Amino acid sequence: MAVREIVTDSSLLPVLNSSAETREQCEKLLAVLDPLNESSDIVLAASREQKQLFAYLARLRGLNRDAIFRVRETKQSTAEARQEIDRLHLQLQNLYYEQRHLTGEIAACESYDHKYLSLPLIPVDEFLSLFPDHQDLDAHELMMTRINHEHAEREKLEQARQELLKRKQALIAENNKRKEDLANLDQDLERFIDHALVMISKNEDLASSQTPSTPANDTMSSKTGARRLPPPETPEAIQTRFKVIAAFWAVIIFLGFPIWWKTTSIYRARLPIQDMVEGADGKACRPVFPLEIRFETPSLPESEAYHLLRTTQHTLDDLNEFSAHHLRLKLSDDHTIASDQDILGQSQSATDRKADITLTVRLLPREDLSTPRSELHPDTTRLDVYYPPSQIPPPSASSPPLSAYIAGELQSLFTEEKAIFAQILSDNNPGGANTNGPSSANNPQQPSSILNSISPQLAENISRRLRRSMKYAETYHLAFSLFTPGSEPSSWDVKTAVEEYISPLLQAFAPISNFTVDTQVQLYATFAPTAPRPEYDEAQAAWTLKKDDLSAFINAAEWPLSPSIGSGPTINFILYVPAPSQSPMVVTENRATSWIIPQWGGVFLLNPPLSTGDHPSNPPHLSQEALRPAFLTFSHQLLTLLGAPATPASLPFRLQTLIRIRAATLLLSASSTMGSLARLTESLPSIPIPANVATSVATTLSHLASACEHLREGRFQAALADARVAEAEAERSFFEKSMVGQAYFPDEHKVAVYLPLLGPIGVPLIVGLLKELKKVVTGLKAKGPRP
Amino acid sequence: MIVLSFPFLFLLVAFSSLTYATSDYHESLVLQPLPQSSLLASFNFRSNASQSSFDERNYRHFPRALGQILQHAHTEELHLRFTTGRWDAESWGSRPWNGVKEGNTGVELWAWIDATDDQEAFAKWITLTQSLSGLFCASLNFIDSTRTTRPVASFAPTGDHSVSSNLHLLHGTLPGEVVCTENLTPFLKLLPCKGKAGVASLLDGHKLFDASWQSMSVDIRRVCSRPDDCLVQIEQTVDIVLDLERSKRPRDNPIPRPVSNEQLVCDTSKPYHGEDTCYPLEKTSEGGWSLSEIFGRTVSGVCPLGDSQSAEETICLRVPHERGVAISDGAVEIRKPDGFTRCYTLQPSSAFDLVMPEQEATTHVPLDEPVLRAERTIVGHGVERGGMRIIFDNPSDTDAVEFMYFETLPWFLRPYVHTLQATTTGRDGVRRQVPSSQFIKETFYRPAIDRERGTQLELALSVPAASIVTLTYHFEKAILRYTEYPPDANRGFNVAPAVIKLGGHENPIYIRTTSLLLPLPTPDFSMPYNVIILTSTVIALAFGSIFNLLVRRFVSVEEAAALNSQSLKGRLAGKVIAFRDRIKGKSSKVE
Repeated sequence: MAVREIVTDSSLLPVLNSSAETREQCEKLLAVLDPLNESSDIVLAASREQKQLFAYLARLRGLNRDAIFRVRETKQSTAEARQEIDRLHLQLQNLYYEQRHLTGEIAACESYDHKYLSLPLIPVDEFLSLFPDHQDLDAHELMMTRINHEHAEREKLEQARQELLKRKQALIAENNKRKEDLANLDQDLERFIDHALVMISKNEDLASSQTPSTPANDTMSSKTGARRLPPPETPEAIQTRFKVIAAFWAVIIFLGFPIWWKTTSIYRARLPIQDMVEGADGKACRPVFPLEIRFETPSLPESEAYHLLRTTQHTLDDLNEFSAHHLRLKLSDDHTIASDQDILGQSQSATDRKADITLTVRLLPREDLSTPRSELHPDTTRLDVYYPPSQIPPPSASSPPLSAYIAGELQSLFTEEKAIFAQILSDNNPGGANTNGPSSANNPQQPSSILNSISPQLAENISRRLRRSMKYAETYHLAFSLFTPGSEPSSWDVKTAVEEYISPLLQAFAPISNFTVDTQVQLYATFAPTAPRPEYDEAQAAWTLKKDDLSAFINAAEWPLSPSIGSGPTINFILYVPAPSQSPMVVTENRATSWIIPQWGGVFLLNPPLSTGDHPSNPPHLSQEALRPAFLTFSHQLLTLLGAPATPASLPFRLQTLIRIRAATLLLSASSTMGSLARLTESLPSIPIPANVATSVATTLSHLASACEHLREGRFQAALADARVAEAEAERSFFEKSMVGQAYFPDEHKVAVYLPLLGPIGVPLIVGLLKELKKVVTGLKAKGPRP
Repeated sequence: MIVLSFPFLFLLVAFSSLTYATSDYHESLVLQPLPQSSLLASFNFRSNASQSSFDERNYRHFPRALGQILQHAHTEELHLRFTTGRWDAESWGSRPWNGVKEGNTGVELWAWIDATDDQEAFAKWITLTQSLSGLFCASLNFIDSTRTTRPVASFAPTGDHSVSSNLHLLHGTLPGEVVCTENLTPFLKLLPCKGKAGVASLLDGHKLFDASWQSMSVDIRRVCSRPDDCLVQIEQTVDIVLDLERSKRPRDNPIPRPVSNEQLVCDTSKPYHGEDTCYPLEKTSEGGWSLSEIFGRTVSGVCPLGDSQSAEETICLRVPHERGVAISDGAVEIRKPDGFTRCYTLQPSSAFDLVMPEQEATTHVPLDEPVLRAERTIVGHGVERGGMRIIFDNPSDTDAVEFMYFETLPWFLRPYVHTLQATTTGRDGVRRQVPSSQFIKETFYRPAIDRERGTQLELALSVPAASIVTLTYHFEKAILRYTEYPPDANRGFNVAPAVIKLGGHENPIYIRTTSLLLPLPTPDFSMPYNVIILTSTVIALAFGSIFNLLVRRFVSVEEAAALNSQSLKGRLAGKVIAFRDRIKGKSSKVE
């Protein structure tokens, strides 16, 4: 059996044995199970054999396991043994390394090359000859002594070297010092030569003997300074510099400044400032109002009439205390005799140069009168004086009662006009009475004096009327507006109402101004939200507006009351129909329904009868009859706004007065505008005055003069025409647009912009100039005392 | 034929001619819902004055302020327009009043002025613009000679004028003017009822100028039934397209709030529909609205100026008859036979409101297609040159469209008319270059003069059926003078829209393009000062060195030191140094 030969281990032999037994048992079982054997107990036998086989197999497994365990044990023991062997081997290796290192170290020590071996010592023989007592010393000690000796020798030598070096340094320093001295000597010598030369040249010029010590002193002082001054400038150089600076300044002064002046100056036309200021102060023209009154004495003989005229004139002159306003009486044309005051008017007999007739006085005898009675015609400028024939004055009587009566009547007719003139004149020249005090002392009839003489109430009325009235204009736009907070009334007979009540008045005013009329209806016109509301007053059974609140009545923001287009102011007349819920509406204090808004227009509250019913409403249409009170009020307000006096009753007479007032106010306002313009141009030197302003001023002044002339001669219409032109021209010149510069650059601005140029150029120029001036001044001073 | 295609306008025209002579005052309001939840409101106010009362200046319903201006400027016929926004013709169809009552973006004014010659006419025109500027609080006074043109064929007088009168047509436009409340207030003041009664009481600046598009117009003309029986007629219109959603926002809380998720109506069929993604569904129902909601107030009665007949049918609504509408008590509804119009006669003194509840829309009021679409843009790049492109689209498949094209260009835009070219695009989308004479029948061209007048170009054009014609030309941009730039120069300069007039004199249709913004080269405005200061510095430097060279004396350094020590300055400096040294020495000793 090959297996048995290979496996010899005793522990494995039982394994082999049992495996052999198992094999046998298997073969036995196979034999039992042989398909050829077909006995019945085959199963039984097979199972028995099988059991045995299983037993064998179990044993075999156990043996197998034992074998494996043993193999494992063997392996472990083998590994342990091997570890031990490795450790020992490592130890051996370490020892080997140690040995090799040590041998290397030994070799290194043996071959070490020390410094002392290479020291350049004196040879041994020489040393020994020097020190024979060391001969017996061994090599090591000998070497040591040799080295010590060498060291001492070397230290000695080093010290010697140091000393030598010091000596050398000292020598170099001394050398340098010497050199410097030599150089200084050179400089001193040069300076000495310079000075000596200068002195020589000077001395030669002056031919005077100098002490020989001066150059020596000089040399001494310059020796301490040790500096050199530049040579003095040649006169040519100084002159050139002077010329350069002078040339620069010449360019600046003769070219730069004129160009600057020309390009930045503004055109200012020459204005007759003196005339303008005089006109404004009232020196050029003192407005006087010689009113011409014509006497018609159809029933009197000429001489008597003339006498009456003269006495009346005397009385009038005595009564009058306002020199600017005086009446001149004159017989009508059919009587050729004129009053003595009217010589001037008579001499200029041309009809267009004749004075306007202010008033015609007709003297009519009437039998049934005991005292004279007068009557002013309401639609003409005629005063009828009825007198008893018995009162015709005899030529001898100096002051007949009839003249006194007529004079008194005339005086009272013109009282208000005089007061107005006085007011205008004093308003225009409030300080006149004080400034002209001494000069006007001989002229007691000053405007202020006549103001004092009239009743304060009248003065108050007049000044109020003047404040209220519109400024004069060539054209007035009249705007009649119907305002109502609801939708009714929405139509009115305004066309016929205007034709009926306003147009006649406007025709009468035609010589003074032109008028345009427009009308409008504005519905849903509410009060301004901030305006005070009308309050219901039980006592008056009406809605009332307080007098102080009337100024807020007009809702300027919402009501379309824009001024008319075109020249001329607009006068607004407002007819306000209150809402049915607020009707009737009146002013609290006096139950008035109308008022004037100064310089603006008038308001009338119209309370039409309401329709009866559940909802009272205003009538949808206002007839001419309903409008009658409103338009009568408007016509009255128009007169007031235009500045017409309140008395006397005759409308033509009042219009005549108005012409005079207008002429006077225009004259004064144009003159004062001229004065303002003069002051303005004088106080603002930077505003331009274009040429057309100058022409306007000239036109104004000439028209003012002619207006003044016309006034003096009593031609008021012509005076008004001239004054209108003067006023228009004055306004145009005063409000000339180009006088107010659109783009205005102040001088500071220009300088600031050009400062980067002017600064750096200006500073050296000015400094140079100052230096040159200083030089010139010192030169002059130096020259001055010598001769 | 064109008018027949605009039934509701025709209705208005017929309606107005009915009440023409019977009343002095008439007002109406037409409301029409438009797609995209918009509402067109057309207000119309018309009043007459007899020629005699006008001449006598007795104004009743006619505003005095305007009458004065007309008489002062001798203006026979006046048309004034204030417009903002853009009419969206694609969604809203053709324009109200055929575009006749509409103006350029900003302000447009044209008038026939009675004058003997052109110069006098221009002087009066300036008077007119100045006065209107004051009246309407608009910058009309900026219409100077550069913005004034005299159109030849684009405008025709609408009133009756005597043949003998020597009328001059002048036209001016301000495309940059911002129309706002301050223009509405004087506009309302011209009305006899001042916006306090009648349909005008709805007009509120806050709502009106919040609209998508709005146009105000004032037309004054003379209407004569017989040669000696004339009326002066003033017609004022306000047309607005309101965005209903926007208008319904309360005034005290006008900021739009986001709709909460639950209230969103989403298209759930979309694949991306989810919790945070929503494709909104178009509303099938028409939104509910009422007059008080969208105008903020109700109509306060009737303006009681006309007679009883004219007060009838003041407010008309254009919705299908099946649409439910609730109205205030007392008002009477009249349905028109066309199936889409109903009108209301109001009670004289009670407030009127109209409520449209939300309702499912079944039928829609048909909108008219515009006869022509026009578009005008500036093309090109850079600040030196550019180009203008005008596109005309004729949607009709059968008829060619003939019209007048009128444009005014500011003088600083210099067109090269020789570069005028036309291309046409058919429905097939193929572009073809064709000679422009094929479309342009007539040309009126007035070239610009720098700083005096602008370019005026009028073309008689014809666009064939079913095609798009594009006109292009090049232009050069001028450089302005320093002072000619406005304060906001970098914003650009407005170029006025072009005006297109279709149809004859009887029933014209007007279309206006949008206004354009032209960027011009703008300088740095601090430049003059910089130039002055820089050159001044350079000159000063040059001067300084030359002057010093000429004046100074030249010495060596050592000599200079010597001179210095002699001069006072030098001695002072030496003392200062010595003093410093002493102090230094002391301090070092202390240390």
